[in-house]
Formats: sequence, structure tokens, C-alpha cells
Amino acid sequence: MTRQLVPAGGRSALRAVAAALPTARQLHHDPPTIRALRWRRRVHQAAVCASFGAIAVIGPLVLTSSQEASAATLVSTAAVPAGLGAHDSPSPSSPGGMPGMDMPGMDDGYGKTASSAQDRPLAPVLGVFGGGTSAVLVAAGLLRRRDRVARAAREAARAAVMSRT
Amino acid sequence: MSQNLQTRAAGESRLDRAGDSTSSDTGTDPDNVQFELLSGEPRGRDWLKNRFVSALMRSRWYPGAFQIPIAAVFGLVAYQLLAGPPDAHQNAGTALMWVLWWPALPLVYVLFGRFWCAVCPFAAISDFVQKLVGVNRPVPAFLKRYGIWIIDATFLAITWADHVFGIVGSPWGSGILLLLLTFSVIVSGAFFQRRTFCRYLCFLGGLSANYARTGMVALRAKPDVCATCTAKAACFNGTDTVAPCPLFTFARTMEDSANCNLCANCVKSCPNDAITLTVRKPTKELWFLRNPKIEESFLAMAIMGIVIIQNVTMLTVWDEMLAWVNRATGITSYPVIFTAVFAVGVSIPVALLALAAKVASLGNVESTLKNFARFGYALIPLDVAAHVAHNLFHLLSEGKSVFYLVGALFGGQVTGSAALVGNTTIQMLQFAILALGLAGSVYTARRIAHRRYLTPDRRVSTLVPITVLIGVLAALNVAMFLVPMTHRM
Repeated sequence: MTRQLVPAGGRSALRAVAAALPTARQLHHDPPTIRALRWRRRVHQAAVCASFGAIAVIGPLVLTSSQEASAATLVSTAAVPAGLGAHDSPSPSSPGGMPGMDMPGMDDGYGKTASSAQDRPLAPVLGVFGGGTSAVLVAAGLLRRRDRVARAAREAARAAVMSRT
Repeated sequence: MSQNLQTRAAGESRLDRAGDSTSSDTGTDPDNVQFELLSGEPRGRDWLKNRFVSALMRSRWYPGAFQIPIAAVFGLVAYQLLAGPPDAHQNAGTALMWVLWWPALPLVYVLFGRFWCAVCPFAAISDFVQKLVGVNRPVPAFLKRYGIWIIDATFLAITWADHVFGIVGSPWGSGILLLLLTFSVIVSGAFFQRRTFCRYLCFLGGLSANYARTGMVALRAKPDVCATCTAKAACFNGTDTVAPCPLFTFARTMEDSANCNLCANCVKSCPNDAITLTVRKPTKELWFLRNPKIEESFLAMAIMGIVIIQNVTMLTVWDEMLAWVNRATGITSYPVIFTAVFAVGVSIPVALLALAAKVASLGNVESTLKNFARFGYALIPLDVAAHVAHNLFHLLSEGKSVFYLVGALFGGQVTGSAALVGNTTIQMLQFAILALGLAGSVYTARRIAHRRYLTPDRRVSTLVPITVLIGVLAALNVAMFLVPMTHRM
């Protein structure tokens, strides 16, 4: 079906047709209200990006400063509220402490895992996440580009048919 | 009488078709005719006529003004979970996520319906990715058909994984869950239209769709105005300046709040001001149920099972139960034991509803599946109440830890008890909420039965087993809240 729409000359001709087509801006006039709305949207997106960026920068700084402060004043327990570990209700003995009980993820009782910062493979996990996300974004970008080219070719073919009739 | 009732209308109502498409009954059911004549949910005062509310909903900053700070906090939570202290007791991300956000969520659903979904940071990520590289493929047919079952399965799988691998109690586990969700949202946003993930895949979306039915805020269109509309479904498709409905809901035909997140896109795009925003009594939507779905009833019961399991595993007797299983069977693997308990725990409410539906079907002469589908919704108020009551314990007995740990991030050194109120107060509140849920469920069951059946025999024979079921599940929850519970943090 789509083969009929591809002009002679193949993919390069298709791209040339797409490039020759007017852009959305050229097709529709761009009144000031729509332009203003576009800018507002851009400002909105920039604000979201800035928020994430600020967190990425400020977060580590805050964490580092609070860790330094707690190390300096030897109040490592103060960062943990006294009430957090001290349950008002009777606390159960740790299931992980039961003989022979194999409890992954709950080795130290509910709410307390025995993992330490060294146990957490942050770099590989973030690498996989970043890699996977990048792959998805690139694939989607390529797919969108292909769709646009195909749509442009369809429109060109339709326009050609219309002009002939 | 019963012979007459055993016959069915040839042109069955939508309600009758729901849940049992294979029904071969024929004949005339007088209740069906009456049911079709009944009007839908009555509407109250339109709050969009209020200048302030109207300005808020039509503002270009709505819901973005809420979304930006929430996204910022979400970023902080994600950072803390992945790179913060490994101990849940010291991690502000764990406190913000599991002590504040998760317990507050069901309350938000009851008060404002699915409003959370409009300001959810995952939705913002999806929208952003869509603008960046979105292919905008239509939603696959299998998602439309089986999406809710996928949500059911995901919700159960995440709860199971929480207990077996440790998610709530481990910042790292919670961080991995966030990364997985983020990746799924990015994939969905990159390839599919609008918020496909939120509507068809998000496990929280499934929960919120069910809970939003009890919500006090409803957005609907005026059918008389819509009948003359020439705007080519602007409320659904959007306009040049307003995005389309993110959850694929057509305001004109919308009958429930399950798939409305109050984003107000339809309010902004409707050229006829046909959209209304009303405040109603909690659970009211369930009284006028027209199109029950078996998968949504199943989810309601599965959530009840999950709440029961969450309660059981946090009881002080849980260790004794584990030890007993260990002695009786010799099984030492916690995942194996928990999987068995989990399967039984989730199956109990589903099986009890199936049993009640079977008993009801003997009296009201409708199929068990139809009864299951219809009266599962009556359990939603109790569901919400049990969920809120369970989470209230964490919110009120560990709430101050949020202030301490977030304060510690910014250099604060405040110490003290994490409890906001005492255990007795919490227990009293839990029982009060459960009582409200019980009353809500019984009343909802009564309204559904009275709306569906005209004959007293059918109503009574339906209501007795359903009310007994509601009572049993409420009693089970009360019994569990009487036993001391452990903390999350």
C-alpha cells in the first residue's frame, strides 16, 4: 500500500519532497496569541527542567552538608528521631532472626534492611536506566521522523492527484 | 413470582450485559424495563459558576502550578531513595513516600477523585517525552481490552515483591521501583498517545479509578448542550491551544469519575461551557452504577485482600504464624511461605464475594458473574476505609519522622517522638473510619439492589448475602486493628 505512495527515486526523492513542503508555520499564519501561548508553554517546560536541574545540583550539596554536620557534631543518632525506632506498640522479634528463616529484603526486620551504601550498585543501575531510556527516545525519535516523511509523501501524492484532476 | 423473574428481557439493559456476555436467558424481566427508565446520577450545584473556581480551572497555570512543586519534591524523593542513607529510618525519601504520600493518597481520592493523577510527576514525564519524541501511536487493542487485568496483576505483583524483596522498608528497593515506573512511563509516552500509561497500565491508576468513584467531586457535561454541539468533540480531541483529554474520556458520554483526573482540559476547550463541576456525597456515584465490570470488582476485592495481608504481616502475631508454619511444614524459605499466604489472603475476599454472589444469584435469578460484577462495587467504600485506616496508623504514629528527616536534610536537628497522636487515639480513629466504610458499603449495596430490583424478594435475597459479606470483612479488619502493629520506619 505504501509503496504506491513512494515517488520514483526512492527514499532520497521522498526526503526532497518532504523538504520542499511548507512547514506548519508557513502553512498557517501565526497570530500573536498562538505565539504567546507557545512561549508560555516553553516557559512552563523550562520551569520544570529548571526544577529538576536545581534538585540535581542542590540535593547532593544539601546531603553532603548535612552529613558533614552530623559527622562533626557526632549526632548521627539525632538525625534519626528517637521515636522512629522506639515503637509504642510492642515490636515483633525480627522474622529474619528466626532460625532458618531466609528473608531477602527483610533481613533486619520490617523497615530496616541490612543493605549499606556499598551494596547498592547505583552506577550500573543508573547506567542501565539511562541506556534504556536513551534507546527508547532515539527509537521513538527515528520512528517519528519516518512517520513525518511518510505523511509528507502521502500529502504530496494527494496534492499531485488533486492537481491532476 | 419467581417463575416470572426467571425470564429475561430480549433486549437486555447494558447492566445486564455486563459481566456475562454469554447469558442465554430469554423472556421479560419487569425490573429491566424500570431500570432503563431510571435517570442517572442527579447533579448538584455547578461550582464552575463560582468565579474563583472557574478562574482556577480555566487558568493556564492549572494544573501545572501544582505539578511543578510536586515534581520537585518527587525529584528529591528519588534522589534520596537512590543515593541517600541506606537505612529507611534515616532516609527522608522513605519518610516522604511511605509515611506521608502513600497514606495521604486514599484521602485525596475520597475528597477530590483522581486529582492526584492530574498533578502526578509521572504524568509530567510522559507529557514531556511526548512533546520531545512522541510517536503518538494509538493505544493497542489488547491494552484497551485487558488493561485493567494488567493493572490488577501489576498491583498484586508489586505488593508481593514488596514483601519478598523489600520495597517499602528499603530505600534502594523503593528507588528501583521508581526507576522501573519512570522507564515504563517514558516508553509509553514515547510511543503511544496521550497518557496511555496512566489510563491502561498504572497500578495506582487502577486503584485511583476505583477509589475515585467514592470521590466527592464530579466533572460532567450537560447532555442537552452537548446534543447541539458542533465543535467536533473539542473536549476529547482538544483545540489548537488546549491539549486533548489525557485519559481518553469523552465528557459528553462520561458517566463515572473513574477516568477523569480533573485536569480541566475539557473545561478549557469546550466552546459551549457545557462542563459542570459538582460536589456530591462520598460513594454517591456507586449508587447509580450502570455499567459494572467484573475486572473492576475483582480489583476491589484484590485490594481488600492486599490490605488484609498488609495488616497481617505487620501484626505482632505474624512472627508466631511464621514460626508455626515453619514447625508444621519444615519450610524455611520466607518467599515460599509468604507467596502461599499472599495467594490465600488475596483469594479470601474474592472467594467470599463469589460465594455471596452465588447465594444472591439463587434469589435474584441473575448469574453469579453479574452479581459478582455489580456488588463488588458495593465493597469499595469498605475497601477505601480499610486502606485509610491501615495507613492512618503510619501517618499518625510516624508522621513526625517526615519533619525530622526532611528538616535534617536542611541542617535541622530536631528530635523527639515520631508519633503525632497516641495509639489509643489512632485506634479510635481507625474504628470510626471502618464504621463509616461499613455504613457506606451497606448503604451502597442497598441502593444498588433497590435500583436494580423492584420486587422485595429479589432485593432481600440479594442484600442478605452481600451484607453478611460486608460484615465479615469489616469484622476481620476490626479484629486486625485490635492487635498491635509494627511501624514502617
